[in-house]
Amino acid sequence: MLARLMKYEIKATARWFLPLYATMLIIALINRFTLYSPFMVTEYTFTNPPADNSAAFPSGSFQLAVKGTVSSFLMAIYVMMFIGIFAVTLIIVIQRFYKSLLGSEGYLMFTLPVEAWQHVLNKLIVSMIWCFLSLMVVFGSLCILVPKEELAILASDLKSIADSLGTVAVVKIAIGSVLGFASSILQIYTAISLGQLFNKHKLLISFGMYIGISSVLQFVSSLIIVIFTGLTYRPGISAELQISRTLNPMLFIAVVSAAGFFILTSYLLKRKLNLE
Amino acid sequence: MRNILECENLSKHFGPVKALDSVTLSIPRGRITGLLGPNGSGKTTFIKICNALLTPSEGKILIDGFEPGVETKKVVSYLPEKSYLNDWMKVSEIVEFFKDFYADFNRDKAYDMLGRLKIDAKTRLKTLSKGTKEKVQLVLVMSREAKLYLLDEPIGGVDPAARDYILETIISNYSENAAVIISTHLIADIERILDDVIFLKDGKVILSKSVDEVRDESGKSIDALFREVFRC
Repeated sequence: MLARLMKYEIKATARWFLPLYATMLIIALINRFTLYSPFMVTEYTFTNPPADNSAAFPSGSFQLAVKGTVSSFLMAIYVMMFIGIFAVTLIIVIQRFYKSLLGSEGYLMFTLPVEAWQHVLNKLIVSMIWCFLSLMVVFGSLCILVPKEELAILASDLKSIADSLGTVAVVKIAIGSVLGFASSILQIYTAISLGQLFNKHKLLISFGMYIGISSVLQFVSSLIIVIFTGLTYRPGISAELQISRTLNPMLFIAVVSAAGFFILTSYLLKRKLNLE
Repeated sequence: MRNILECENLSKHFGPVKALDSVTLSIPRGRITGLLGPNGSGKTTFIKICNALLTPSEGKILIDGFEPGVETKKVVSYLPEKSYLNDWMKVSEIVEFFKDFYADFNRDKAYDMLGRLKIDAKTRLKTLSKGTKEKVQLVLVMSREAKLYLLDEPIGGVDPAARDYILETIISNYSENAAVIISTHLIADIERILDDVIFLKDGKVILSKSVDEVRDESGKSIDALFREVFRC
């Protein structure tokens, strides 16, 4: 049943994401040509920027000025898309949960022979797939835009950080990021499920709930981390070791909060559903 | 065979409001029951509880021997009072959706009914009129070979000409062992197809009899009796 739910969830969301991704990559591609075209100033790169804007038009010709305007306009669009893709991803994650489960479509979804937790898991998995793809598309667009040499520098920097932390820590960071991310999405679901308990101002209350849960979570996690690192601190240990030790409580917080939000959301949708 | 639906002292409170107050009912198989009452009498609350969309505050309810949940959802076909269709699917896609999730869904029956109602399966749900959406929902619900059909105000939003067709569809599409519960306050239109009636008032059952009994005892039609009982 979960696979069938996911099939429809992916279908329902792909019609938003796929055009968005295509637009993003096309704009990156166009930018690449305007930014590095032989007619444009090519001696400047990200690591070797012009000292001031006037230097961008060394010959001062009208044609170059026009091209400069066009290219900065395209760059502005790219930057907007860059921010937009994250905003849209977030909005769709929220909207798919709120509208298709708690709006009038909820009458369809909650009368399917499916458990409430499967609905939650379905929304979570599909949301995470899209968030990951959004990230990949943004990364891909950067690869299109940024010259290879710059990417190589970035990659070697990341590699040296990873090497100094060690494989175990890197794996922990990877698992922790995925779990922490799942927890963040589930936190949104929990807030919305709590908000729907009220008959008025559901969205506003959901927002308040989100802020409330965030504050509590923030407080408790800082406390856990401080206590844990305080207990394990020995003078003279390396920064890398200290970081890798902080990862354990962070993993713990991610697991516990994700599980807690998942169980609470499933419970609220099963027992306290309040469809309009 | 035991009743399709049994409930005992079923209550639902919303804060201080008692939407359902100690309802005890038995709904037999093979009959069409009218769940009748004015607005706010608890009809929709009762139907939502049957569909596990609401959890009762007190009491017990069993459908085909199970408490409302995944098992009962497999055998209950529910028509809510509002449109639940999403806007991005085509009619043919929502038919496949039902086929995917309900083992008792009969696709041929659905296409047959859509054809007779002259609804093009390639149309997007978004572009359908409100009345056509209601017809699509009814087609989906009646194309299941369910054990219990729960129809909440099935004729509320459609014109009188379509009402006859819808009632016809309901009568001709449920099998002998299935039960139908129709909630409505448009009694005159629906009276002729009912076998049993339940009157709900302020969350309480005030009458639960067969239509024949009511007519024999009071000498009145259900519509006339309803008007008398619920006179404002």
